[in-house]
Amino acid sequence: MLTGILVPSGGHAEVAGLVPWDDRRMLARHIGIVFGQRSQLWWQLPVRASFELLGRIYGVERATYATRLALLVEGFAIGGFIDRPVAQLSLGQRLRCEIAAALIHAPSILLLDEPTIGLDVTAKALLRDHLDAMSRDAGTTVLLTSHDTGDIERICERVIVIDHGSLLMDLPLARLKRDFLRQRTVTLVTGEEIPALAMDGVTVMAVEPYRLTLAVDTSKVAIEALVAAALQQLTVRDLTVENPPLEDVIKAIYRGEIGDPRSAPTRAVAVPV
Amino acid sequence: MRGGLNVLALAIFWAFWRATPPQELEVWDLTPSRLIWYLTITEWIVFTTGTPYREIEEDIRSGALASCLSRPVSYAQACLAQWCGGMAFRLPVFAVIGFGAALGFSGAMPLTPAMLPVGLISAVLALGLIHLCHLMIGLATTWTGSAAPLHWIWQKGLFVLGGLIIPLSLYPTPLRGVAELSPFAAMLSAPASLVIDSSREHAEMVLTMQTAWLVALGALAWLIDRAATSRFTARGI
Repeated sequence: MLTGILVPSGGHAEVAGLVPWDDRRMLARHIGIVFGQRSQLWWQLPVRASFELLGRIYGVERATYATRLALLVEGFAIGGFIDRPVAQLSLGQRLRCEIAAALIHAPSILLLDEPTIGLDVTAKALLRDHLDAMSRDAGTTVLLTSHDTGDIERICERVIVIDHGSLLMDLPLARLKRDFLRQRTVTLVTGEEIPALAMDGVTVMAVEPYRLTLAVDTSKVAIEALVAAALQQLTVRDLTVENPPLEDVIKAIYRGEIGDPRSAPTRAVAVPV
Repeated sequence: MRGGLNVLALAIFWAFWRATPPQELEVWDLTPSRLIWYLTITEWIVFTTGTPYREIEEDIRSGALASCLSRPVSYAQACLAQWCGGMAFRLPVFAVIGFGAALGFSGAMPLTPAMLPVGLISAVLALGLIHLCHLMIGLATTWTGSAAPLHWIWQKGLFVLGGLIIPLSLYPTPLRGVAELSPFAAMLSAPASLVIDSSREHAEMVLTMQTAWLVALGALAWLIDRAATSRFTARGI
């Protein structure tokens, strides 16, 4: 709907100041789109030829195109296979080319639909790093849909959780994790061979020689208090405090365990330029 | 392979027309040479076209259409532009193959040098008409799910009513009337008929007819494109 390809049955939205389904072709010049499972490149042609075609379709001036292409090739590390036909690329290589292609016309907004689907861990990490660098350095607004919370944690500053068309949550990522799951995992490396620590709100998850892993309910006990108690009672050699994975937070939201799912105000989705 | 089929068809019909008693052809002001050149032109147009409707059918079925709709150009215009690129390559290639074979069989083309540019323009107009039909057939996938049956019916109409093998002047009167009123005549028979009647009057009639059908089919294609796009955007791809 935000690209204008689908007309909604109701409601209002604006992207880059335009109503997508009314001004689809004009909006296309302001946005770049990457569909993880569909390609916008010409399968039998070298990647460079696809970029050239897209540059002409979007009316990018020759000099500007040459400069921008050089930056994208370096930024996404695709120089090694830019002259290879798209059909011969691996999935990770192709996706990097897809994102570079979507940026040929320097859109202010980049929409990514499941961009890391099917990628292995290394390729995902590489792609996420590129997207993170791009959004910070070029100031491009990135709107990402993904079922992989790793994408969200690495790239996004703001998280919108939608369930069956209803808005459940719209918060900055840091606040989402901080406010909506009151559990931390604390791992202590101790001098004691069999460490022990008992506190209200603290559950022992694992005891290993010289190592104690605790689940801390921060609604009952502050991390600072736990650390103080641990330092008093044990010989602490190392200490790790981990936030819960975002996946657990999202699961809890969908199960209705976190906050009031319907308390988030319904409002038009606006993607700031 | 298409080039081989082209030459084979010409060889078979050259033998056929040479075996036909001359008086049977002279009644219609025809000769084996004119007939084989007629077939050469119609086959040239058919082989240059291919089956571009399949690209649209695949785009719709696979959902790749979403990528195309997200660009600042009309999908239909982008398809036609892309097909022009392919046509620009195939047109001279099949001209060399077909014309070379016809020259070998029958000698020089019965078309004056002054009429050669007219013949080329007419062939390009014919290809434009055929590609508009392919565009509409491909977009029909939106409603039918598969464009192949529609293409099969259309293609048979093109071959029969378009006069693929023989000029429409040889058709029985009722069928000839139907064929000449159909757009198919403008796609095959009209450009090929210039090797039979290369008079200025006939050439003007052919080009006028083709241009009129180009406008009509272009308008129809535009309407179908709008209807298909409305359906995509309402229901999704």
